[in-house]
Amino acid sequence: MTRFLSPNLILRVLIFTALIPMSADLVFANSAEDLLEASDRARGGVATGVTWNVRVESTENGTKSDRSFVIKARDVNALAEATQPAKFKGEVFLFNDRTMWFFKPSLRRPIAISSRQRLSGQAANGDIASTNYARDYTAEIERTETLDGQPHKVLLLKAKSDQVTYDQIRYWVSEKSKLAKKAAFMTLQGEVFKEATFDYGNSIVVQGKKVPFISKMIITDVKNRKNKSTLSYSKLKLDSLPPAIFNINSLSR
Amino acid sequence: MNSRLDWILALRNLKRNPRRTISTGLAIVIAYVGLTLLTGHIFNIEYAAKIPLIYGNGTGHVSIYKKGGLDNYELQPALYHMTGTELEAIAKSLEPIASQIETTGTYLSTQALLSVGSRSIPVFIRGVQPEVDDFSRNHPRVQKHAPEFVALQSGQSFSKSSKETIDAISVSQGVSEILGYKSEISALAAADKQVVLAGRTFDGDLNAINGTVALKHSTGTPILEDSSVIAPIEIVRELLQTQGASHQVLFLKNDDDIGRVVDHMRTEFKNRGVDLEAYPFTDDRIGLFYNGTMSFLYAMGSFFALLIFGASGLIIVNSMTISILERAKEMGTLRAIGFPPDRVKSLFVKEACWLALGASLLGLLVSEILAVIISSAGWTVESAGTTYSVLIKILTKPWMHAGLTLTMIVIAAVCSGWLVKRKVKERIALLLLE
Repeated sequence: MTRFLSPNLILRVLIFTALIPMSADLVFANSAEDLLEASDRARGGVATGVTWNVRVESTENGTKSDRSFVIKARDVNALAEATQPAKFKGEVFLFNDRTMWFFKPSLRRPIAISSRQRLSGQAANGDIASTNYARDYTAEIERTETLDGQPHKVLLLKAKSDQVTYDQIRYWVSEKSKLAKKAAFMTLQGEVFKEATFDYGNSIVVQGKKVPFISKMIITDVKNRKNKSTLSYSKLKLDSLPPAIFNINSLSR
Repeated sequence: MNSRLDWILALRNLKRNPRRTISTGLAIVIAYVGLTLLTGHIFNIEYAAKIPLIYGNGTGHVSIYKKGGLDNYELQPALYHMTGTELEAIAKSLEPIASQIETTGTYLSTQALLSVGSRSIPVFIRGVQPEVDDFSRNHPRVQKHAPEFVALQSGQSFSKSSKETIDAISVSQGVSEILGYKSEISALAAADKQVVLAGRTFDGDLNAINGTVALKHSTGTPILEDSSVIAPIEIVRELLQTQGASHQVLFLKNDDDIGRVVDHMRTEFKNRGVDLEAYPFTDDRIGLFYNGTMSFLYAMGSFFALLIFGASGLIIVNSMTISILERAKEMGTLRAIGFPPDRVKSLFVKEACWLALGASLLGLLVSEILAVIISSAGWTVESAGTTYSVLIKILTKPWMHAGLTLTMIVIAAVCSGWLVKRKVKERIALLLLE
């Protein structure tokens, strides 16, 4: 009996017991990050260049607006050029890593703006470009929930810096497809102020694999559900975009 | 006839005992000078708070906003800004009172981002008509009461700057420091002066325009000093994509007309069926800081005035009591030669009135001399809640002197009348024996 309960064995058992929750955490953390990286790919977070059009239709306190952009994204950079209506033509939003710039032809130089500012209706500046949640947020799995008959992991994303679009996001990612289905955007205090749903009717081929790509995002104001913005994505194509187009200095030339 | 004779007699009586007259008179002079200096200083502080508010902060004597705009414009500018039609309605409403209006100013304010290079800072932009900005900075009242605050700290006037540089703007001292301007604006390189202003249009879209920092100003208030930008209204209209205004202000020729003008405008707006509201600058939502400062000053001033009045009043009463008690024999003699008690009392009251009048005139002279000396000494005092020091000046006014003189005469007369009334009722023989 005493042979089995040697101090050495007890120590080993204790160390093993202590490691169990740590290893479980590690597994879940990896899993959350994997889910986030996979879901980012379907929302424009592609290392190679990709181009698409996005139309932002908003209803805000009964007033409707309609704007269109051409988005060119590569890795952590993105360039959004306004195309419609005509008065906004030539306006450019440049996302250099986490810094965001706005430029239009009449300006002498670009201006640094916040990705949190509203672009149109409920859509923030940071919503129109590619998504890099895996880079910008720490993720943890809160629970598993069934959405449209499919099991989804509910991730709680917390901003790594105050330069990102939202402080906290609750993110529903499908276990099977690894696509985000729903998001609740929250304040620092955890209060939900906007919600979004995502459809994936588009697809791109990345490294020989056909990957679903976002086709529609509907952002709704939680306090007034009549205020909403619909982002429709189209004309999606892989493009070898030169890094120079994401250079801030190239904007004002 | 008796009355005139009594006034002459009373005046002559003052010369009979110079020691008595001087001691009582001196107490009155000290009280008079103390109260004049205190009141004059409060007037100075009031002007130092009022003039920057009216002329420097674009408040005017009367501000006109869209109904609810004073509280909601900042949050919902598209809903609460004034349109061209409403500005026309204001112009028509002003026609009957044109003689009371010195000038009017149209303003358009907004929150925006000011960017130099990769640095963007949130600012509050006040769009003004360049000629109105020049008017308010160069107004004689500003030059007299708050030149150190309202004057531009660097650069020319807006009119001149706007002619030279189409997108000239002025930044506050605090903004200038945040932007890293270490030298005067005029000494900066052209590229350093070029900024970009970004804001949301009334349609909710992001917009940005160029600006050139050409002037530097002071807001006078610490909370605004790090975020104030003044720009010609047309620049702000371009930024917000509107031809409207956030508010319009009226500069009056006379401060006393404020109430009448506000009432007139409110009636006009009602009759014309326009959704506008007029507010005096003393409305708490506009002049909260001014109202707070003045309430504090009046409370402190009243306390000190009470102290001065109390101390001097006691000296006056004490001095008069001794003087009247000393003159019981004189009262007895007057009674003995046929003066009725009321006439004796009247004689002493008149004498007190002469004394108070003379001492007040001397007090007026002394206080005016001291006011000139103090005002020209160049001493300054830190005023709570401001970023600048207020030059100590004693501002005296004719009505202030008239009021103080009258107060001194009343105090002396009442005090004297009350004391004599009690004494003169005693038997003549007893009075003569005292």
